[in-house]
Amino acid sequence: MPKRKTITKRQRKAIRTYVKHGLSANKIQKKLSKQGLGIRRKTLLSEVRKLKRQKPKADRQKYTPHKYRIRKLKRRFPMMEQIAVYSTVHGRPRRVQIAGTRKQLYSAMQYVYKYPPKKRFLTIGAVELLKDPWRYLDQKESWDRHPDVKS
Amino acid sequence: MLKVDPNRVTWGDWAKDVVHLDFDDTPLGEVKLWAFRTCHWFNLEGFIILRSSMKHYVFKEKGKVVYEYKLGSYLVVFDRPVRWETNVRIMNWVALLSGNPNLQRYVRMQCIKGTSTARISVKKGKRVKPVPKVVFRFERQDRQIEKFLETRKFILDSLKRLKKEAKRKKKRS
Repeated sequence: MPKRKTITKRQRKAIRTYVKHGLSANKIQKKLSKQGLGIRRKTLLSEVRKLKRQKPKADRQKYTPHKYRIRKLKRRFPMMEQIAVYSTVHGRPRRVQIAGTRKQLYSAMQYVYKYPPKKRFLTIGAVELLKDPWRYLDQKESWDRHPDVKS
Repeated sequence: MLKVDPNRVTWGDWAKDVVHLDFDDTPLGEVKLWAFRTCHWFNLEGFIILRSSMKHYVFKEKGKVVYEYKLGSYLVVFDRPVRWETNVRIMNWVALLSGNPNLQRYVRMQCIKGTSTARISVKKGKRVKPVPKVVFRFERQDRQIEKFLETRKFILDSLKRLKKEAKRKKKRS
C-alpha cells in the first residue's frame, strides 16, 4: 500500500505563504481550517519549523501540560533504594547503610540524621531499623558539627 | 527531640552492583579518558561524570599571579550492573593503570567496606563541597545510571523536606 500523505501540496504552499507573511502557527491553523485545508497540529508545527529553520525545544516534556504527558507505567512492586549516611562522632568516622522503599527510607532518615549508630559501621534494612531504632542508634550521642570525613 | 541540620551528615548512594569511581584533583580530560577506556575494556555500555567540587590553584610572585589552574573532583557511574567481584576488578584495574593515588585510596576504602559509594549531598568538613552535578553523559543510561539518578533525586528532595520540617519545629518552639 502506498504511504498516506500527511500533508498535501496545497497545504504546504499555503503554509509557506503564511509563514512569509509572519503569521503564527495558531493563526495559520485557523486560516487553513477555514479554507477546508485542516491539518494535524503536529504536522503543521514540524512544517513551520522546517520553513523557519528552527529546532524543537530541548526539554519538550516541560512545556507539555500535565494532562497530555505520557505517564510512566506504575511499578508492580515499590522500588528498593539504598542510601548511605556517614560523618564523624568525636572525630571518628561512623557510617549507616540503609535499604528499603522510599516511604520506609524517609522515616528512617528522620532518625539517622539526628542520632549516629552505636556501631562504627551498620548495614541494615529500613524496616528493621524502624522497628526498634534505639537498639541500633545512640540516643546519647550526636554527629559532629564540623566533621572531617575522608571518603 | 534534637534539632539538627540534615546536612550535618553526608548522604550517598551505596551498591554492590554499580561501578563507581572517584577521581580527586584530576582534570576533566583525564577523567573522560579513563572513563572511556574502562567503558570499552569491560563493556560497561555507558557512563555519567559528575563534578563534585573544584579547586583553584594560584601561584603568586611578588603579589602578581604567575600561574593558575583549576582541578576538579569527579565521580563516574557506569551503566551495566556487575557482580561485586567484577566491580572490585574494574575499580582496581583503573586505580592501578591510572596511577592516581587518590583513586587508589578510594578503591581500598570501598574494598574494606564491601560496597561502593558515591556522594550525593553537600559535604561539610574543612572544605565544604557542593552537591555533585552531571557534566558529561555517554551512551546507555537506562539501568544503573537511571537508578542512581532516581536515588539522587529522592535524597535531595527528602533533605529539602527534612529541612523544612526542622524550620517549622524551630518556629513553633
